[in-house]
Amino acid sequence: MDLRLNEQQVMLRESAHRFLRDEYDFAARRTDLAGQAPGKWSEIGQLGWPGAALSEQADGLGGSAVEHAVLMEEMGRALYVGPFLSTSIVAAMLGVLPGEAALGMLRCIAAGEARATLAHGEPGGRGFFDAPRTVARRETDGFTLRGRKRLVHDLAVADIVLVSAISPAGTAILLADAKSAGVSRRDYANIDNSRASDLEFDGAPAVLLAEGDLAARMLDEAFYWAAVGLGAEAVGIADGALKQTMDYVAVRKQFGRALSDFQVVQHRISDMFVELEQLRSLVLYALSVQDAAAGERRRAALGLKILAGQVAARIAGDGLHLHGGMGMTDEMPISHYYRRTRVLESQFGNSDYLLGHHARMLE
Amino acid sequence: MDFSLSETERGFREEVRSFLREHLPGDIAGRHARGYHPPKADLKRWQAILHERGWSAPGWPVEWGGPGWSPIQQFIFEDECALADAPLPSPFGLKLVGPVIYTFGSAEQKRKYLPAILSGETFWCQGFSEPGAGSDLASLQTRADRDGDDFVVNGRKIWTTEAHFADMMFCLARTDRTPRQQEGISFLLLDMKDPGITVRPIATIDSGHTVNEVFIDNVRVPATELVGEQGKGWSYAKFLLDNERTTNSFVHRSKRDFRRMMDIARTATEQGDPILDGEAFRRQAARVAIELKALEWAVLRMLSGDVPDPSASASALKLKGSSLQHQILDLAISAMGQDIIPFYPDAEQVPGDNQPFWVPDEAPGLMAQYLYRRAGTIYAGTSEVQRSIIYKQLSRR
Repeated sequence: MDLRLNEQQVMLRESAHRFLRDEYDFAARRTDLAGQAPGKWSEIGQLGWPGAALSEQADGLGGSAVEHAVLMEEMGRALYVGPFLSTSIVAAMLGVLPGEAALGMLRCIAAGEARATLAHGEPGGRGFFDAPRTVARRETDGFTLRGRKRLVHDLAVADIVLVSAISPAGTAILLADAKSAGVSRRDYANIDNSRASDLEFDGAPAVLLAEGDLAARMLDEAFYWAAVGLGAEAVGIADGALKQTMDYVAVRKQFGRALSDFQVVQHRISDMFVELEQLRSLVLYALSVQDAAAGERRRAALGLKILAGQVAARIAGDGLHLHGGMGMTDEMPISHYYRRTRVLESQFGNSDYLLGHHARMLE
Repeated sequence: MDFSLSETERGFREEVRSFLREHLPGDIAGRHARGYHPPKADLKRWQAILHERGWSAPGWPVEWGGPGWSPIQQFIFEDECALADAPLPSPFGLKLVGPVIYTFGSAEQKRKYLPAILSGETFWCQGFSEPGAGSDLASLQTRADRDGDDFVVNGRKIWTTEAHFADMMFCLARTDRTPRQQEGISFLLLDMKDPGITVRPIATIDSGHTVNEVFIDNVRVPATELVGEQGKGWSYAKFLLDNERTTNSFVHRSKRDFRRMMDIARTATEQGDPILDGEAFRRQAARVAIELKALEWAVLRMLSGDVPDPSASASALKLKGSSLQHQILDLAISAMGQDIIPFYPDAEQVPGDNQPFWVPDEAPGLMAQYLYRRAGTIYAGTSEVQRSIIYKQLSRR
């Protein structure tokens, strides 16, 4: 057992850190967010991030979820907004599939040529484990989709769109084209500046990728990569929020002394650190079960997503509070960290929803 | 990164497991599982068994009789011991003063004390806290005045765990008056058989006897029993306290306690349904399970050297670990319901018709343990002291 990053992983982390620091500081981010397709995708593609965790067969760098986590942590710290997580989730799902078609899509992703997203959540749903009600029907020349999907992250820039549905064989995963006939769509912004879309399928054509157990395995994979990604992102966010807060309380003076001279402020900061240490550690546990049995992996992913949502929101919330009135302003990164954690906490199901699933698996 | 245990580490786990199966006496494990403090005889017998195998001091270097285990092997060993309900050997010799002696002690002190600590022949206690010096340890008042080849020690120590059965005490005493409190403190080794030492038991919240007050009245200590240099005692004490803090995550015991809590919640029922099937209870238990897993991996990270600031992380482990053990026992108590109301004396120590008619198997000892563990957030640096250490470390970066 050795929990330290290897040489390549350290290099990846350092290169990500450098790129985000130099090309994606708070001002550059603001400019990027104002554009049509935020997320610096062509630069990120050139740096090899989309393929870092993909197999060499798919023209990736042969990494694992560790590389995914390394990148997501740096992105969290930099408050990155873009289609990286959505694309990584789809890549993990495609990795389950045999055949040339899936491999071809993976190669496009690894090369930075394709962005991707999964349309899974539906109106009225509370989280990832709700069974889809969108219907996939077999026609003479393929499949059609009927139903509604919401909160589809990064759909507007996605080249590959996977859709979960129900078919006679159980759960199904299909490939759809959001621009085809029979799809209506509404794009909107989220409170953390990320973008999402709602979709209505009314007999839209689609290609079946998997049904039954295979489709279930794809969704399992999706949740694992989502949880590990968000867990690592939450570490970066919390670490960034903690540092910003420490810097702020060291210079802000009240009652004739720096806020950091007050023990009550110091102890609050220490508590933030303690929670962050717990979260960092649980990310490692979740990474350690990447190849474990499905049940243990699912439970670890649930646990991480729950802790990530709660810890990140608590740390960013405490940080916001310690910034005083300035924490409420759009110009301070802490308010962006906080908004991001509120979204993160709800993505794929909030802690209350996921804890119910985790508790059922408790033994 | 490599997350899996190596073949050697897996084999080691098996070796420890089968050793415990064959050599851990059932009566000792049984007593320990019930949650009362292990009597001295149990500690001595168990340590002798471990010593025979060469396993009594997992963290010591081979040179001084340790088994030469990696940090991960030590983790595995302690994990297996906790799961098998082996009592934790008394830490004062093995974990606290032993490393101080082999790091800073004289050749004579090493020869005289280390073998007897290893074998469990000599038990130690810690003379640090005083009535006026708890969290603020450096304000201690016990004096050691030089008189020829001896120091003459006078003072009063408190909260001294196991002083009533210890053979030796390691003690902090003031040898010089200096403007800085931390200077002028020396680290001395005292013989508890000296007639100038009086041990008075302190009755505690759990109705047990673990801690004491120790009166030190004109005790002559030869200068050869001074560890390291005179006036440098504070730095040795800090070394010792750093070691203690690192091992105070209680993670192995908490894993065992969690399992026990789950067993209780499966057995205890409300109108026929197990407490564990209640949605609210299950959710609370799930929350604690998540935190406990995180704590376990925090310890593994520490052992792997994967923490940016070991001192801050050690304090985080102590803070989180002590709070989690409360939470686990809180759940166990909650699952027991009204069965926690009676006082159940340890039937082995106090036989007789002193128990209720109906005693659930898990009840005796549980409440004693619950009450005693309240001390977890107080000793070895209160939670507030840990928070101050963390902030100091973080603000240095």
